Amino acid sequence: MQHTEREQQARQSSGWIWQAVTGVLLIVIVLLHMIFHHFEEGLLSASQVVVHVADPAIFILEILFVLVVTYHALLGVKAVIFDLQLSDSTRQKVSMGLTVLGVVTVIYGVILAFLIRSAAV
Amino acid sequence: MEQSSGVKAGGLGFLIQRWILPLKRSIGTWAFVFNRWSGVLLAIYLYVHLGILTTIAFSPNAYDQFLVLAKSPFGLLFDVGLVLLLLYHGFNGLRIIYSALAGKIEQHRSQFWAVVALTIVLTLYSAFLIFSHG
Repeated sequence: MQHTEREQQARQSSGWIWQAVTGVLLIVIVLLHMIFHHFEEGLLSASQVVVHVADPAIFILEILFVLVVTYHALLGVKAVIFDLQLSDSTRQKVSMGLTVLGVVTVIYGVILAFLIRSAAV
Repeated sequence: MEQSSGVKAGGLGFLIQRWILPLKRSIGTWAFVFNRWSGVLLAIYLYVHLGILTTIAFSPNAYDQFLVLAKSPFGLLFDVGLVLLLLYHGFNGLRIIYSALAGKIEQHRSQFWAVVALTIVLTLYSAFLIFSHG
């Protein structure tokens, strides 16, 4: 029992560290995203977004953004849901569900970035 | 701490009191509540943003029509609100990391007000940029 609690604490602690690391990364990425997409020319038209995303540096930034923001957001949602003091089996189901949602979100986001970039060709 | 208010830790009643009605609580509780609310709203916005971007790939005309609404004063105000959430969540996150790493938890009141001040100043500057560029 104590072993399980210790494992749970270790998992929570590693979750906190990852939340912090991705949070700091996100500050940099969101800042760059806002500068490239919003603050330079205001809200961009569809054709302007396509041209922006076709830039390799911005494309890589967007892929990185989808990865990091999805991980950070769903880890945060997990912490919120776990505040409900759920049973271990429910926690496992929630973790599994959020993992699946995260993987689907990242795959969809990456495909979307490729689709938008391909419109420029 | 929360148990002393008579509400058992965990469960919906606990969350409502902790998240929605954090009245007569410390600054730390308010910082926590704002952080959670801003985080949840930003997580929801992530999917809204992906949905909006989907129209660029499949229906660029629909996206450009959406831009008319996005560039209206209401749409720009929404963007300012979004920047407010991003700034608060970001600065408060840095505050939490700093408190944890530097062990400056006893200074959390002044740190919180610094976060609020920075958030307000930079939101106002962002509002200026957003309404200038449209």
